[in-house]
Amino acid sequence: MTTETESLQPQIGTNERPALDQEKSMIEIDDLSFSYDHGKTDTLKNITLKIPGNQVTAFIGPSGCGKSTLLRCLNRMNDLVETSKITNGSISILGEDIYGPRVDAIQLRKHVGMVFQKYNPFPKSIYDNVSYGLRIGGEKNKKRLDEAVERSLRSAALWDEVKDRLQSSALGLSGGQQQRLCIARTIAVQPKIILMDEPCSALDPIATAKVEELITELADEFTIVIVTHSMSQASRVSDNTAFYYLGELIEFDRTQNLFSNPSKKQTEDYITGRFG
Amino acid sequence: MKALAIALTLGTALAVTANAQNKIAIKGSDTLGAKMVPQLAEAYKASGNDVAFDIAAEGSSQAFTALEAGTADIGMSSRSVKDEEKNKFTAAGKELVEHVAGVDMIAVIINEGNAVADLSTKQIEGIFTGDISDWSEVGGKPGKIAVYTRNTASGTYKTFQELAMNKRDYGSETQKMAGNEQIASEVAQNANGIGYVGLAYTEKDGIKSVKVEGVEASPSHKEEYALSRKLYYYTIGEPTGEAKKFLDWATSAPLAMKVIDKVGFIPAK
Amino acid sequence: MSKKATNKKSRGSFDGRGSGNFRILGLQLQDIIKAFFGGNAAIAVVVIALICFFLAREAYQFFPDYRAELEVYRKSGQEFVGFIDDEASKHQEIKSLAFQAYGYEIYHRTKQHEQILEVYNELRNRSKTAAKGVLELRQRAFDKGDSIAAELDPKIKEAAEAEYKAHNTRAEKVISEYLAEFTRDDLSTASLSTIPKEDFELVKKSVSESMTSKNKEDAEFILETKMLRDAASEAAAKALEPFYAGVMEISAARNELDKMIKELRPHALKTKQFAVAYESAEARKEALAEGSENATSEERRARLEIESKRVLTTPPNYEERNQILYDSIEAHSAAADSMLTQTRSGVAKLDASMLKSQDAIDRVAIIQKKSKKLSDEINKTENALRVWNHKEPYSGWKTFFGFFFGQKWVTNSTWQDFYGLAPLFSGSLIIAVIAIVISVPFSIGAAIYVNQIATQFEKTAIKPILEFIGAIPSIVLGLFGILVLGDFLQKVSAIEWLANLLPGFPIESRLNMLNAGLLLAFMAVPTIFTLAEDALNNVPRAHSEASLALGATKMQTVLKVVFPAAISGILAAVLLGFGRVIGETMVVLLVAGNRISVPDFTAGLGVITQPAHTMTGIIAQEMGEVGEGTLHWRALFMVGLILFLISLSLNWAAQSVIRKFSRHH
Repeated sequence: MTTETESLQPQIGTNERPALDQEKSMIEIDDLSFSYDHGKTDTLKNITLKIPGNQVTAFIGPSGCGKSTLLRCLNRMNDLVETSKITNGSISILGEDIYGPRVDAIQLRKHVGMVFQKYNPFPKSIYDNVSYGLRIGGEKNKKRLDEAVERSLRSAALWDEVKDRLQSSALGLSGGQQQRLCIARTIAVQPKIILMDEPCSALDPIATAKVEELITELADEFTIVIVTHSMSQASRVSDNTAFYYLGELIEFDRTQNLFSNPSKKQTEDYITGRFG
Repeated sequence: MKALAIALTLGTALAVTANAQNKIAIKGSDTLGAKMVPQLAEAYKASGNDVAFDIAAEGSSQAFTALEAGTADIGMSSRSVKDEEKNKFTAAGKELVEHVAGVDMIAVIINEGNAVADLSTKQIEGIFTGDISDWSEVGGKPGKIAVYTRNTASGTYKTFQELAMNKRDYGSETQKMAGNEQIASEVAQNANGIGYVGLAYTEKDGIKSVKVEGVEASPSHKEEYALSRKLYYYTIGEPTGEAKKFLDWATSAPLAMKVIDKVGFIPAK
Repeated sequence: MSKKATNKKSRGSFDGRGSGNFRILGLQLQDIIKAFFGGNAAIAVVVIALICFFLAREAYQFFPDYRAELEVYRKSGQEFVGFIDDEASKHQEIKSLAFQAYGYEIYHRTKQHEQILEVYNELRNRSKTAAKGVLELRQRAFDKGDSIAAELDPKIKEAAEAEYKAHNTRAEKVISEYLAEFTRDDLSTASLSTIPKEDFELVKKSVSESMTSKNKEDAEFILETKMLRDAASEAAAKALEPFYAGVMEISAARNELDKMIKELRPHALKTKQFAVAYESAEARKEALAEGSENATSEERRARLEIESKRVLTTPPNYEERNQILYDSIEAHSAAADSMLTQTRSGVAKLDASMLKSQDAIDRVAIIQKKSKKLSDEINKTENALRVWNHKEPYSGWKTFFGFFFGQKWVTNSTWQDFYGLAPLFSGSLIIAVIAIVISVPFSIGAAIYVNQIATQFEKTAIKPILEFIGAIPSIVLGLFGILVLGDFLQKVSAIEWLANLLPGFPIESRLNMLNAGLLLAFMAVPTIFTLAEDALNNVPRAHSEASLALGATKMQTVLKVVFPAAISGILAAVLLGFGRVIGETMVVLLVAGNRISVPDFTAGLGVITQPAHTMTGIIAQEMGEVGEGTLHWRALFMVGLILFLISLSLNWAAQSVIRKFSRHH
């Protein structure tokens, strides 16, 4: 991690890394309501949720239930929609209100990375893709960049496949490789949290398996929030699962509990495939 | 201003007589067509002739193309007809008849701020061929000379070459303008500018004409002035009908002579 | 036979063509629609092919014809005289500079009086502008009194005179008020501001006097200054007599050579006329014969017939006519030698230590350099004359190079027409480059702003406005260029510190390449903007999202991700903008200044304030007057063909840029 990023830490309120206490929540969502249309209708309604650190948390629910919207609230990507608005409540990461006046969304996103549904590497070389986040952060030292690129690609389990062609275009990789490259690109800036928006929906089963394996591995180091359509995927990779329906959080529990013994009727209906 | 006023009066006059039965189409030289012929036409109508005029002035070459195509009754030209042009009429079994419309003096104009007052024909030749490129060579305030000439479609272009330039070619530094008006306004804008225009245009703001070999360009000096030329009307065969009536009037009536004098040309008779 | 039958059968119930009932000439609706659209595309292709064919057909004859014409130029001995002419023009440069040095020096010595006269002129012009309205009214009153109507009716005359008087009084007042406020610092150039105060006041007085007196004569003070100036210049001339003797000697050095040219030139021209007459004799004969057939009267028919028979069809005797040229080679050597010795002796008399003006001293230095090279020029000419042979055919290559790299475009000449593309091509190119250099940052900046940064409201406001520029007729822009931009540039360029800072300033002629380039830059904006904006729009949103999610700012995202991803489209936009600009006609014809010569690149970047002519402009200007099928006509088509090829290759380049980059994606 570069010195610059380090100095920015206080902005989200962490002078020191907290102990890896599983029960201590990384993200606290408190009575959050969110609207895409200046507050006329709420897309998310009164959501309260504590997401623990260094675990994988899955968001599931039928299309339009608001799970992706909530995910995009966590790194303020929704700011890009001019008409969007938090109508109630707050989100805190490590105790700091991320919609607070002192918080800069640009800085926030350096700590909360994101991987998208469709793999989207830049039309640049593999090396430039991975080093992009560091470069825009001001890192110019070639050696440190080289190290970061290698470390990130190793973490994303891609190093061995691409080490001989770092300077060739990222668009020449296969779909699964491209998605893992996007993950490497995200972890290169050493965020605390990685948001994943249906990261495997555009991949074939073999590539999916590889990415899922990677997600589990990354959970040692990062807090991961993943939105998925696939309930089997949620049960395979996540420690906790939250189920949403029509903009409301219906149920949040350890994944095992939620799938084996849902406490709400709606959850049960959904996981048994009665709707969705 | 003057030109605008004329254009307006002419416009109204044309509108009023739009449904007159007889129409004379006159086409060709810009030198004749800009002021002299429109004013002659106006005076002609004012003296009780019920005729409509269609006047177009794009350059002397147009006189012959329009006559050949049959779109003009009378052609105006500031030079006499070329052999190639004549050939075409001969080939069609037609005869081109020439009538002298008046005499024009080509005035050499410079910027009002320029102190030079007199140029010899040799100097004018030098300036327009590019041999002389700086005002200091002819006794003026030092500065590179900017030469404005008519473009190659103009009869004046050729006539000036014959009268003032010993038939030599224009220098490559010369700038080719579409008409008298443009030359006058560019010379008025450029302190080092020089150009030539018909006598009628020397009154414009910002310019003045120079003496040529000590002779001022004014109608009273038409005999001695080096750069004067005849202007012509052309018809196919001897003119008949309305065209004949107008031409007779325009080349001999006292009022017509007065109009010609007023616009800065010299009546032929 | 049986196979066919089974085929028909096997179409079965899924055969769409069988199901409809609507048929015209056996075609179904679908087929007709298909044919309609296909037909439209085919028409476009056919029209382009026709244009190519038509241009090529008119142009292809150009080179053989031009070569034939240049061959006549050689046969008639004009080329021979041309060599001597060129040599003489080298001497002319020296002579010209010598006169300039003398003129600069005289001016320098009479400067104090000249300054007063210049201030006088400027004040006159400026008060004329200040009192423009009332002066116009006065002029109108004068015109009224001088009109034909006034001649016929004395009442009108009287009224007009009274009106004139009233306006004159007002003009007097306006001018004196204007001048009262005017100080020396308000003068346009700093060198004039040094005029002594009492002189300045006297000048002011003279201005208001001369502007309101009816005969517009200069005031006494000015007449006096003029006399003083004349006296000073006389004294200067006296002091510079030895120098002037040198100038005159240089000037006279060419007399002998001039005499020779004066003899040979008309001779060669006459030979050419014979040649041309011979070549057109057949045509003339035919024209007369045809005319006699069409003649209306019997008498006229007979006359034309006789005339037709009289036309001579024998070629001129070149051998005999050119003998005089061959015989003059020795005389030329003598004339050139005497020119050289006299010039040298004249140059020796140009003593720079007599001079005070730096401009004059600089010129003397150049003269000395040039006079040293003069002997080389003379030797070159000598050699050219000795090897010259009127029978030698004119080479095709020389014709070809003469067209593409020739420095002269001379038409309607009394001596010889030359068609050299270089001045036109360089004009077109420089103007287009100016336009693109200015236009690209603006239009691409605007595209980035509108596409990436602007709010929805700004987008809906800016886009149509920029695209509207494309709807402005170019003639309107041309007029704007002459009347507004030209004057504005000229005024701005005269500001002292700007004039010192920028090359080519102050601008002499308001019609120049910079003016035209600025207007074309404006015209190129919609093309480049629209295409660049499209290119930016085509960059997937996912790219910018990914960048933003990594903590990049909006600006970083635009510059490092979106812009590089759109670069191919933007490059193509610039190329197409270039094509748009180089093909523009009306604006350059009106505003570029129409000077047919290769710009003087020694001015450095200042070259852009020079006037120039362009390929499009020359076609528009000269096409109207040339006869169909003449060499000049073909030359213009050749220029058109080249323009067409330039546009075509620009388009092709734009497309291949896009193709190349999109393969990379």
